Amino acid sequence: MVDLTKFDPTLNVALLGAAQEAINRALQYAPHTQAKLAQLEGQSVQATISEPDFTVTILLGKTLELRSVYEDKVNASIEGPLREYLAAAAAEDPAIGLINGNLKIRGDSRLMQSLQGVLSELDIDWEAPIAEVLGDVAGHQIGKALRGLFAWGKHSRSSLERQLSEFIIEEARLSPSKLELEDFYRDVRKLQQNIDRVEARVKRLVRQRAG
Amino acid sequence: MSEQSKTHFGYQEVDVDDKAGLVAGVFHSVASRYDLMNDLMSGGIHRLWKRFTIELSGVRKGHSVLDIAGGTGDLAGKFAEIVGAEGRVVLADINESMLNVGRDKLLDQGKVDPLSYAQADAQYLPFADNSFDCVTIAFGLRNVTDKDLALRSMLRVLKPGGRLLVLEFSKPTNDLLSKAYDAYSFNVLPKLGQLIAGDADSYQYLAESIRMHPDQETLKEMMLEAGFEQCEFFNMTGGIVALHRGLKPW
Repeated sequence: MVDLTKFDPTLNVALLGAAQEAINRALQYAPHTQAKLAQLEGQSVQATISEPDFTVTILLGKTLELRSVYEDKVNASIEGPLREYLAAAAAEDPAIGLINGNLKIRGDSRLMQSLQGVLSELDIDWEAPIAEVLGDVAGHQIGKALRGLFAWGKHSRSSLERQLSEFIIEEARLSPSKLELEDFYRDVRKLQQNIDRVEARVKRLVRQRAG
Repeated sequence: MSEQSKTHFGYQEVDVDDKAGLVAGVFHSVASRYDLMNDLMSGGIHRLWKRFTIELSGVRKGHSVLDIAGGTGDLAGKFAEIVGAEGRVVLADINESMLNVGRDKLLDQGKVDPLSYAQADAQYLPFADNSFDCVTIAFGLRNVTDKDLALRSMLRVLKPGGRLLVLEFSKPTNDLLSKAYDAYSFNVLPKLGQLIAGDADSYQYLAESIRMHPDQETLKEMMLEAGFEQCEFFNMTGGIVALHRGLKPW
């Protein structure tokens, strides 16, 4: 919870206001997501970030409302340091990253699952806002080009990741492969077990000698 | 003339009976350009202050809200969206010109249903006891002649447990900010007023009235004396503005 007595809300309110405006504008071009969100009308999720301290409450509905202060009970809450949120956002599927990461999630798990579904299906129709400005023909052409660009970007990112990992592991030998690592971990575990056994044996011998 | 019958109008001392008329003159003059001037004067930050006021109001669907000195309807419009058709929002202002500007703006935005309008004096609110879940007054209290009387009137119309929110210019908490703010208010602000609204005097009054308004602690004391409880205030933008909140006891 925000310590209201020490909190100058101007900046938070400005950031959240701008974010709310941007999100709601983008949602207009994702009608499927907007319809799903409309089904969650009246429910609320609070995200608390520690290091640095920041709290936002999201009131769900056809349009989202982001609040810096919300004193009523929320349906679900997420809590954790900023790096965990960033890790979740950088995950291949942010929604799964959110659930499986090290963030503390409390409250209505069904609501969180619904939100996970909404996030993973998010698909913004870039063609619509362009067509509004430039007309249908140009909008369609540019939208097509943009979709191609995004798909190419996604493909090249995964292809680049694969090639980079091959180079690091196989060519430059900067990092061991997954199999080598598993072998190494198995050896470490075996060594640990042997040490435990020796320790137990030494203790037993010491006791026998003392007895 | 006795001292009790004098009050402040900016830095001038005027008869109590004259203040309302003088304030009315100021707002008749600035009403048509009020929104634009607010944006220019505060760099748009007044929208953030109002947004925070709404967050702290705790207003929900179905609630009944009174926005006093509601002027151009920023708060009332937002409250109307929150309370929905089953709620009630009254936009009240003592000044006919401001009320007209506010009503036209909200009608133009298509906001009709839970809204009603009242030309009312904050000191003598024409509403039944225990009528509202929330009463707000944003940038209005400093223009009221008898602030104690107005606070008691607001307490009366609130339901038990209801909240009063007073958003008002206050005293900056930092000396440097205070000096910069003074320089801006007395040098830049009247010139902006002259340029945009063609009226430097009214904006000179606005700057002076802000300085004469009680500081954070004094206003909190006044709210407690009027009968509110759990009174607290939140400084915004270094104390240039403060939001006071108090609850009507059960």
